Order: sequence, then structure tokens, then C-alpha cells
Amino acid sequence: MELTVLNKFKKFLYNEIYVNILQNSNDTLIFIEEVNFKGDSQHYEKLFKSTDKVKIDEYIQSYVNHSPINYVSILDPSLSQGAAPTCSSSEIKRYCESGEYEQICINESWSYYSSKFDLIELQGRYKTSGLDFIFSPFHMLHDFFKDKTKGEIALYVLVNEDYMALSVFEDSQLMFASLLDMQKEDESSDDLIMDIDDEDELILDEIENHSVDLEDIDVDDDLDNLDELDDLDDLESFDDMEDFDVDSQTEQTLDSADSSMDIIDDQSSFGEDYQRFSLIQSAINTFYKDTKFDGKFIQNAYIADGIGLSSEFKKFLEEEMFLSVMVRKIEMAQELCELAKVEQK
Amino acid sequence: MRYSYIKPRPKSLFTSEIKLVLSFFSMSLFMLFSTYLFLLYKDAKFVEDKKNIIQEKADLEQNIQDMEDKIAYIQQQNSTSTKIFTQNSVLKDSIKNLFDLVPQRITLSQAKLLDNGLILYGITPNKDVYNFMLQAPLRSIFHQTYSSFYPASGGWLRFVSTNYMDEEIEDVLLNPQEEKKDE
Repeated sequence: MELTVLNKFKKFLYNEIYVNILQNSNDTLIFIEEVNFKGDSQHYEKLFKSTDKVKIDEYIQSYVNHSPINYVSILDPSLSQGAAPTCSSSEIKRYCESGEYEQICINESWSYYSSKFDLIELQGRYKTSGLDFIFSPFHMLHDFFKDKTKGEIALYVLVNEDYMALSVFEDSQLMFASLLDMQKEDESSDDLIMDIDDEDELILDEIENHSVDLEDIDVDDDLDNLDELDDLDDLESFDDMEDFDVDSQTEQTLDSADSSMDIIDDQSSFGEDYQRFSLIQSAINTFYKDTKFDGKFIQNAYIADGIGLSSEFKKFLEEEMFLSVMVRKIEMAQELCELAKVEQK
Repeated sequence: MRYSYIKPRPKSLFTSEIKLVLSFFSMSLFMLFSTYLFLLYKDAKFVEDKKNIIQEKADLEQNIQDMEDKIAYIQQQNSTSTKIFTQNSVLKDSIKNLFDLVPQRITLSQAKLLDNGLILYGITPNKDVYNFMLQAPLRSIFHQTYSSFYPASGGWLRFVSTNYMDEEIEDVLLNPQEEKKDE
């Protein structure tokens, strides 16, 4: 009773500040939620380069100093983390590669873990502001799909920029989990593509047919032939175009360059999506090869999309792995904030 | 259930601002409390001083009363001494007058001064000398005069002269100043 009154007094006196850090290899997103006594909240967020440690600390400090009731949370970016279908510390060593690890057991049936060394290193990186919570992406994934994991066997994937947290749940019991490292696979992506089967080769052919190689685009040559195009005469006849200082040839050149860039982005995005698909496919193959799970067949896949996947990704999973795929957009920073709110109660 | 790998740091309300405010408040309270204690001490001291002063006042009043009593006693003594001195002066004058009354031929051997009289013992050559030279002035002073004679050696006579005075006249003679005051 007294504690409740004290908490209310604290909340009346100070706003609650939730600082949430999403750290990737290139960028670090700082999402801040400030909740006042009435429960109204304000959000602030800023994207930094991960190397700008000083700026990140300054930005966090500028909000943390507003109130002593502040909670700094981070989603564990460690690539040595994982999850295992056991809580036993002796059994988990079969899954965990690192010697020293921190383990959190869920419902006494499964657990997720992370390297102690990485956790200490992470705390050292943010020692200026300090950290209150370090959450595992597996916990975020489980919490995000908590309405689904109670059902029949299904694949759950949390897609982040640097990694994907993959897990297979059946009746709230974790059966298989893996952290798929995007950066590691990035270096060997060419090898990965070379290893794919015939069906995949066909898809790649299609991709190559639709894509444009920048080296093949010769701007000067194109410009020489532009006058011969009938469409350009029509364009010059538009009244709206008369005021433009740029001549039609230059504009055409710019249009060509823009379209080329879009194609490059699409190609890059497509490549990453395919890489993700390949990683998932590889992981699921590992699951199927495990004799412990004989007779188990995954039909449904739930994807928590934290980066904005293309429709091709879903198409790959559906067509190549015969999965019924549901992609649900996840605002990872906000989700992290919600985890922190629940945890601090 | 705990889901985070680490525990949150304890959140203290005592920020630097709060500490500053609290220190000012505590200083103010300390000063107020000190002032209150000082006032309590001064109040207690005033009460004690007042009690002492009242006691001192009572002592002084007692002393004054004693002094007044002593003054009254001394005044009484003074008046008594003055009275005695006056009486002695009167007596001295009376004795002087008395000896002035006694002629050279009569010799006094004893004189007794009474409150309302005078008894003289002496020796005279004869009765006439006594009657004319001593008894006559005595009779003018005293109302009643009695004389008796006894023969002495050599033809001389021893005499005893007893003289009495009425009280009113005696008072006048003995207290001539009071009489003057009455007048």
C-alpha cells in the first residue's frame, strides 16, 4: 500500500522516461518515450551511426537527465545469443557455444541465453547512461506472437537488419531456435547463390533479366539517339514544360539515372530478401534433419517484419517452402519499450 | 517473472536538485529549530531570572522592613537619649541651682534628689543662718518644706531639710521645654 502511494508520488513528481536502443552494425536507433502522471506519452526518436558513440550518449543523457525514473533498454545485438528448448543448465551447454552465459528460463520449459562477455561488453559500451534492461530478440518474438505460439507447430521469425531470430513453437513449447546472422552470410552470399538448386537458378535468371547493369548504360550514346524518338516531340509540346530551363536531353538523362538507381536498390533489397530466405530455408532443413522431430511438418510461418520486407520474401517462403506465411509489421523500438514497461512493474 | 538479462538499477528520487532543495529545507528547519531552542532557553532563563528577582525583591523588602524597624528603634533610642539628656541637663541645672542656693556658711554632707522632692543633710552654725539663707530660697521653690536639727560638736547643728513639690509644678520644673510646647 505504502509502496503504491510512493510510486504514485514518484510518478506525480517525475515523468517516466523509457530509452530504447536498437543497435545494428551500421545504425543505432534511439527511441524515447516520456510518460507523464496522467499516462500521456510523448515519443522522440533519432537515428545515429553506430560509430557516433559520443553523440548517442549525449542524446540519451539529454533525456535521462529529465527524470530520475528512467529506464534504458536495449535489444541484445549479440550474435552469440540463442534459445534452447530446455531450462537445464547442463543440457543448455549443448546449444550454447560460449563458456560463460546468462540464461533466462521461460515457464520452466524453454530458455534464451546470451554470452556473459557480450553482455558485459554491451554494458561497458553504454556505461555513461547505464543500462537497466537487456532483452533477447527471442523474448520479443515470443511476446509479439504470444497469441499464436499456443497453437500448432509453426515457424516464427523476427527479422532485424543484422540478424533473424528464428524459432519453432508448438503448444507454447519451443522446439527449435536459431539466430541467423545476416552479416556473416553477407560475405559468403556469392557462394550461397552458387549452391542453390535448379529452381533457384531459374529465379535468379528472371532477376537478371529484369535488372539493369549500370556498366551497360552508356549515357552519351543514348543522348545521340534521343532526337530520333517521336515521344520527345510530344513532350516538348506540353505547355507546362516550357518553363523548364533544363533541356529535354538532360532530363531524359536524369530520368534514366533515377530509374537505374531504383533498379539497383530493388536488386539490393531483393538480394537481401533472398539471402534471408536462404538462411531460413537452411535453418528449417536443419530442423527437419533432426531425428527428434520426425514427422513434424511446419505449415505456418509468422514473420515479424522489423525492417520492411518486400513481397518477394513472402513469395519465396510460400512458393519454395510451401508455407502459409503471415507477415506482421513490428515496430521493434516500440515493442522494446513495451517490454521495458512490463519488466519494470 | 524476469525477462531481462540484467536487473534495473535502483531508482532514487534524490537527484541533485532534490538534494539541494532538501539541504536548504533541512538548513532552514535546523535554523528554525535552533531558534526555537534558543527562545526556549531564553524563556526558561527569563522565568528563572524573574523568580530570582522576585525573591530578591522580597529579600529587599524584608531588609527594608528590618531597616525601618531599626530606624524606628534608633529614633526611639534617639528620642529617649534626647529625653534623658534633657532630663540630665535639667537635673544638672537643678543641682547647680541647688548648690548655688547653699550659702558658704552652711556645709552640705548629703543630698538626695527625689522625683518630687529634695532631702538635704548638712551642718549649719545655727538655726538662723539656716532659716534665712537656705530655708527661705527652698520654700520659694518647694511647696512643702520640713526641717529638723540635731546638735553637733562645737555648737554647730546638723540639719535635715525635706522638701516636696506638687506634681504639676514639679513637671513644669523638670520639663520646661514641654511646657513651652504646650504654651
